[in-house]
Amino acid sequence: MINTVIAYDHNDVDLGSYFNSSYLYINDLVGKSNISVTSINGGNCLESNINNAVSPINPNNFVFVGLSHGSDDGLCLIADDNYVSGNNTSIFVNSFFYSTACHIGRELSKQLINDGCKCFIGYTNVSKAPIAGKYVELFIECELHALKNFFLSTKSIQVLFDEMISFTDEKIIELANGTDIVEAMALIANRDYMICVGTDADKALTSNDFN
Amino acid sequence: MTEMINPKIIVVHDDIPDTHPIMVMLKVNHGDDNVLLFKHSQEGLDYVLDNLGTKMIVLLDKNFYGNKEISGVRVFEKIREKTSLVYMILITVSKITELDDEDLKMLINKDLFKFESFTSDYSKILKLVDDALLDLSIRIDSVIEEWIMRHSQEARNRPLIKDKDGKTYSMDQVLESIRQQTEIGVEFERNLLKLAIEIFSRQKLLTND
Repeated sequence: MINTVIAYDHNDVDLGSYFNSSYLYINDLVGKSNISVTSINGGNCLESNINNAVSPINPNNFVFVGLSHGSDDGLCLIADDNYVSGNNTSIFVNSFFYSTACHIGRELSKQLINDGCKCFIGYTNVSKAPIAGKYVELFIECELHALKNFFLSTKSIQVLFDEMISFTDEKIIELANGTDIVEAMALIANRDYMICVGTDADKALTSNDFN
Repeated sequence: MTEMINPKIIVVHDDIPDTHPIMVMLKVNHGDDNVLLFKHSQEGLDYVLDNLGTKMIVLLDKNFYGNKEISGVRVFEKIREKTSLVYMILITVSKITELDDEDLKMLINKDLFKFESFTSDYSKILKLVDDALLDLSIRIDSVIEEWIMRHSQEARNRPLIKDKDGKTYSMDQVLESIRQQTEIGVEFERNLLKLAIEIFSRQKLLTND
């Protein structure tokens, strides 16, 4: 089983619904893939709860997913303390850390990797969400494409990241071919802010290495 | 959608009448309704600031006489505080060396389009106005401004983009940011250019075979 911890802020006033849909998108893979999910939501996204969930499983490789707001300093709930920050990056040793939060690819990713995180995928700047509900599924599909297929295949993280970028490219063009120019522009921003960090050896890891 | 508005040529000059050859030539070239003369600098400034949604080229005299008048350089500065999308041409009978160092730096750093002597050879100034109009028509920020201004006020107030830090921005807010050249507006311009290049790069090359 691939131990997977998902922290998501379904209570957020503006984006709670989006974060919840993102969570369901991943949780839907339980039963379809070899994953075991521990979820921590809303106000439970506290540093102590994260530490309690992650520490028992971090002697082995595991996956951590953060679906909330973020900053250069870490993952957070709006107007609340960070639940992942420099305080607890060391517990993410042996993790494949995947987050759709804003900014955390810029500074936090470096700290995570320095502290033994195997691989990081996330945004380096403010990522975009769609205004209209009909695009929510598409945006989630694009930004969680690599994670979903990590669970469903034995492709390497690097290959999955590259495929996610190509997948997003296709969706950008599909949107632009219609009348959805602003959404295409938002996806371009997301694509360009998304990074994959890790050594070449760690980027070559597959789901088999996390079972 | 509202109708597209033609660019206006705004002449702010206290020493030329409406019958001056340069005014006549500008009206011949660009239409009577599109050329406006303001003899008082404050009135010219007010008009520009009240009509930021209109494409404008401002032909601005440097020197104004009278205690109540503000100088052309200050008019330039005050317009730049509100928008980067109005092209301004400073015309003067003075030499450039007579400009204060700080004013000169400010004019260059805040993108004065051109500086020209006001002599009897008006063709140079007319050419600069044409150049400015051409330049304005191909600037992406100016094109976005035109696109936004073609929408109704109601549409311009609706959210256009949403960041995952919870902030949303309407068309008018994006436009304001473009005029001020702050992050949201600049990113909007950048992403539109990237999208254009994405689409263009998928265009098959035409060959002769």
